[in-house]
Amino acid sequence: VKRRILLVVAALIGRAAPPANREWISGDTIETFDRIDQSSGRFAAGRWLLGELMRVLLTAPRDRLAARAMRACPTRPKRAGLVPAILQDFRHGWRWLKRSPGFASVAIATLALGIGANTAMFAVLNAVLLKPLPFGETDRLMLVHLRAPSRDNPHVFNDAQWSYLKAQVFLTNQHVFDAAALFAGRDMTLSGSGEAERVSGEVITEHYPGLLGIQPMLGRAISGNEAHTLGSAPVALISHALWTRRFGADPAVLGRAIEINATPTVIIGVLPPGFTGLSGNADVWVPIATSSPHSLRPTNGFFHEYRLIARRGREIPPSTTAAAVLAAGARVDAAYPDAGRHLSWSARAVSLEASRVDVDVRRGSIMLLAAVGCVLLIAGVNLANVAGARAIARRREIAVRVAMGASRGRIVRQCFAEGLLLAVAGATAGIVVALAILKAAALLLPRPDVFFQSSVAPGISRTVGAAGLTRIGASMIGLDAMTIWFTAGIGATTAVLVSLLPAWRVAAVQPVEVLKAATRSLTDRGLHAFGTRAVLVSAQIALALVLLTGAGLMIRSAARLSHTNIGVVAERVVTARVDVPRARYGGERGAEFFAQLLERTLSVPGVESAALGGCAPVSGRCSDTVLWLPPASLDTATAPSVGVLTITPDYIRTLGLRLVAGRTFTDRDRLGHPQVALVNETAARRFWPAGSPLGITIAVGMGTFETGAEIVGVVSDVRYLGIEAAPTPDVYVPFAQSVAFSPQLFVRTRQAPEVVMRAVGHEVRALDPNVPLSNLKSMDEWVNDAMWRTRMGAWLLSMFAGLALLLAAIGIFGVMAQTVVQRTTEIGIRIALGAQRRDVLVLVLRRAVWVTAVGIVIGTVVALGVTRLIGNLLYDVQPNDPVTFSAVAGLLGFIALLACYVPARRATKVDAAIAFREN
Amino acid sequence: VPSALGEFEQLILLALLRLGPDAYGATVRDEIEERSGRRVSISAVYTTLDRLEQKGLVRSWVGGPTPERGGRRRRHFDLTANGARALKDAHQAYAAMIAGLERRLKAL
Repeated sequence: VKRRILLVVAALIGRAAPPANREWISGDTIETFDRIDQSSGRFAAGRWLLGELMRVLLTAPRDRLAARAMRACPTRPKRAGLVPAILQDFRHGWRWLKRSPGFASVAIATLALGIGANTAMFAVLNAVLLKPLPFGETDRLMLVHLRAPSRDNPHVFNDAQWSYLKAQVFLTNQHVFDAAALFAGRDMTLSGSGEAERVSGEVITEHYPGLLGIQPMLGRAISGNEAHTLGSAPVALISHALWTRRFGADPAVLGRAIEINATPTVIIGVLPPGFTGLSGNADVWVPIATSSPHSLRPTNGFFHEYRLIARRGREIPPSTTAAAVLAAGARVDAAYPDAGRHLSWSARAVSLEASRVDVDVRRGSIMLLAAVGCVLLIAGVNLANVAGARAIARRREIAVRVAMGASRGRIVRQCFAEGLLLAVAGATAGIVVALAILKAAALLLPRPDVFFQSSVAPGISRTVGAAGLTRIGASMIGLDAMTIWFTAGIGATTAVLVSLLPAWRVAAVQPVEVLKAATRSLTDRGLHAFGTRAVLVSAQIALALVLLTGAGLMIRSAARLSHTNIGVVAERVVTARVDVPRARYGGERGAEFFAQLLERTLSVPGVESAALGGCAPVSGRCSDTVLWLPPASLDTATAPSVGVLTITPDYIRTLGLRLVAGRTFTDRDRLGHPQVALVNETAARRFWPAGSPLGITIAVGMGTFETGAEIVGVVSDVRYLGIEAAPTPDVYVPFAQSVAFSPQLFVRTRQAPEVVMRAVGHEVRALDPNVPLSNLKSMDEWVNDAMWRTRMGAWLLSMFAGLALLLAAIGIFGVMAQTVVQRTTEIGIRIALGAQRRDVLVLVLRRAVWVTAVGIVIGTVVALGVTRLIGNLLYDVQPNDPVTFSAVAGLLGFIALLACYVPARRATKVDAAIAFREN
Repeated sequence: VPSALGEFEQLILLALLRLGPDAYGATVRDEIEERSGRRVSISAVYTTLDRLEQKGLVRSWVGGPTPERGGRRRRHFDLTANGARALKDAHQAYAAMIAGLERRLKAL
């Protein structure tokens, strides 16, 4: 009875107390009663219990009010502030990552590779496209182009170079530029102190360095007189690099005489380190008047050979420039009318920054950056998936923490802290990777110039001046602040990407559900959890497919290129450029010199045949001119244009051209004999579709051949413009009847080309020590250079696509493996109920097939849109090439299913008994 | 700035300090009643302990149910670092105010 009363009173006391404390208060009451009962007897205990009841009842309202007030307006523990809390998040994240070193190191390595590749790619793009050019007040600098009406369509204008005379008219008739200079890149022969060498240089007027913000570091600049007055003493500025390399950085070089193109020239100044002119590779600068006096001759108004750089006046708004340039251009046209064709010329100005890169370089580099971006995205999705899976594994821990009162915001923040830790580590390692990539690229690509020398894909016109500016940009490649910001940016993006899924998972955790379900089977996770990951994997497959398609198209282009017949037998042919000074080798002397040169070359052991020609096949640097067909008059407007090549008789044999009809040139076809010409098959087909061109007299817009030449033969086509460009109609004329000063020497060798060419160089020096043999290159190298862009693109894209494929495969594998593990019980039940191995296999693979199929379909649709953008980089392959598309889809499908195979096999091996026991 | 401790709060914190691991509602109340001679309501003890816990000066955990308590669980209390510091601060302030007044206080 006593006990019952006690329990009732204790319960009563509990009811009176605030609800949260009911249990312990009742417990305490019972305990205390018992203690007093034992020590002082039941009456004392009863008295105490009664008093206790009264006290509690009396104070109950007050205590309840206090408890309610506390709940309504909690006096929270004073927060130590957000920053320490976040630091604590990071510490927690760090400890947690340390606990799973496998995941952490794989994640960091993946991110380092992805972020590193992106950083390196961006460093290139930044230097070439974004970083300000290293000149003073670049935003005021403009390239002014003469606008030449196109031969085919008088309403289409092409950017052209200036003649000296036209530029003078232009500059005196404009008021928007406060400084301007003409310049032109020229290769020059340097001799007179040490061995003769070919260097790149520029022919300029006096303001050139100054308006680019460059002052000589030694000596003085070129004066106006030297630039514009005939008969001035020849002078030159040299680059810091040349000064160091050739003159041992000797300050006494000022005033020293050297020979430039066999002209004695005094060095008057050294330009500061790093300055290489607007050509990006110049080592020597000479004024126009002394180096190119022909430009100043009043009859040479149509010698278009210079580019014009000008600085807009500080107070001139950019918007008014165009009109002023147009007006001045009209004055130029009035002063030098195009009498023959009755077409008007014009002018336009383009900012230097806008002239930086060709469309294809811009497009190519953006495409590659997008490709590496895709790779990083796929890698990020993989990590997100793994992190998401780990979040599921941690659901219990998180449920407990939430149940214990941790706020969800805090837990989500912790997820992001972990992601950020991974990203920071990945980005830091990525910077190291980027440095390594850039270093490796610099070693593997010793001659990036090839890119700018090779011809542009058909249908794209080169941006005037872009090659030099791109070269300048390429020299600035490095990890600058902008690049580091970029790295930080993609690092942060990756952190968010990697944390988003786990954070979302964690935020959705319902502690009660999780804790209740903890002992139950895992099948109930089911489709919902799989859904998000399936979407991510599909996205990965789609991205990988886009990359693979791009790579596939580029590979097919490269394959088509290497199977294209360029019209010459390239094996064992070596080429070199020979430059003779015009001053000493005019007329007969030149012909004589080159005849001797060929004779001596042939005498070298190992030389099978040797010839001279105007330019190398697939080099894209051959001249063209107009062709007049009889009986038409010399009307330039309607005449078709043809390539024109001066060759010696053995050219056909040395390069392996076929003679289709008639005869080739002989030694008798020289000055004083009737002028003759050969045409190629394309020309024969186009101009004389009905009959044979043999014996017909044509006129070619080149020197004495304007008076006519008889066609004596037809030869096979050669691709001179590049491998991609179809052969143009070409006309060959005998070298002996039209001597060039800078021909290419072609040598077919029997032995190792290096040895033979060394001996040839010897012979040439013996003939004239001031004539250098430069640009030694085998014909195969010319071909490789012409394919460089496509091959490089194919190689890089394939690498990225391969990486994407691997990452996507890992992604599929991971998700499928996890699904199988999670459904082990379900599969066990199915097997226990009599499902066959095959049924289980189908069950697992069905999902994989779905995910893969969705990815492939979406990827194909996206790829169809994207590949059109790279159409210009392709050769002989349509951007929607069905073969590539189906091959890529097949490959991707195969790899995806292969990646599922192992998990699917594991599913079939599930032992029902073990599955049940484990759960 | 830590909020000043109320007198009853100080008594409870001192009890926790003395009781150490044995501190729960009943013992705390007994401790206070025995030493200060004041009658204290058990629910007031818990209400105050709840408030101290919200201030971060005290932490509590729930023990297992025991038969001698009629199957009810016990809620144990302990000082946190902040609680110990608050107690020390209060004591120092009190001791500083008292310094030199001992004789006069006795004489009152």
